Amino acid sequence: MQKVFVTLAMMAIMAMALFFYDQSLESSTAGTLTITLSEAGDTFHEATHPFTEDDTLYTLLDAHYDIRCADANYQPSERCESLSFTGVEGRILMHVNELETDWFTSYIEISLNGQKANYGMDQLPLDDGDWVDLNAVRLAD
Amino acid sequence: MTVKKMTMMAVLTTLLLIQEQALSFIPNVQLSTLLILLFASTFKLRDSLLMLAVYVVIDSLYMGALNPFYMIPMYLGWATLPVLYHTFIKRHENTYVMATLGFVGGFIYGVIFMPFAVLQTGVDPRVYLLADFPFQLVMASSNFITILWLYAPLKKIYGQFIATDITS
Repeated sequence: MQKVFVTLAMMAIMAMALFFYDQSLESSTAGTLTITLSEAGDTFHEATHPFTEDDTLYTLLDAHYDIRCADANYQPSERCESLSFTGVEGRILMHVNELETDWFTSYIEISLNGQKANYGMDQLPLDDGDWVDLNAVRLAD
Repeated sequence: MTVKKMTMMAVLTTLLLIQEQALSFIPNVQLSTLLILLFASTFKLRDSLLMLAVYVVIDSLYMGALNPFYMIPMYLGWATLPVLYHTFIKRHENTYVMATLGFVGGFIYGVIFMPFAVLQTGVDPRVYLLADFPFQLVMASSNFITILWLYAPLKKIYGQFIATDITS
């Protein structure tokens, strides 16, 4: 019986910690967002998209671009599952249109208004007029 | 090292790999910590570290991650468990102590990756830790719960199959 209580307590602590973590994240405001796609710093695509308070960078990318996210085996998947049974979304972007990375030797660096973003595409808070750059970084370079 | 012992270590390392792949659809939920502690409790530290080295190399080959920025922290993260076990826990072993070690191990495993990620990507360490926190918490909690429920019964069964002459 003691084990059952300890297990339930552990699950409750985990749920509360994840809830407060989720609550601590800032939410987006409505407006327009400029998205650029870059390969090793050279921009080859730029577009501006309107967004609402309910949007995230992920929903915008999903609506306007051909994207793939890492699956549980670190492979690009069109399903773009959040892999989140915890309530905290955490997709990893691997492909955006022709911008392709492979997790192990390359990755997509997200910058917000010219600064490295502090969050991923599910949690990055967006404001009107923001600019997001998605830059493929090749680690072998 | 006898052939019997070497074979047993190979089989157990294979088991470690297979269960990880079988559970890979749930991020950060696995039985690896439970099994590593189980192996650490019967094998010598050097044997456990050898098994983990083989496990990390094969896992990295299989996943296409033969990259020192993944392999080194992965090995250090896993190796922490037998080292802590043989240093602090061995003589005071009970289920709750082992579960707590698994819980702490979940966070240690995540934190060990941080300097390597900072070196490789230039990410702010605080940002890395904040982003990784939910995953560390899930790993730590699942370690605690699986060890709490499965360590004792598994060790009992394990003891029936692993002869003392192999592990000593």
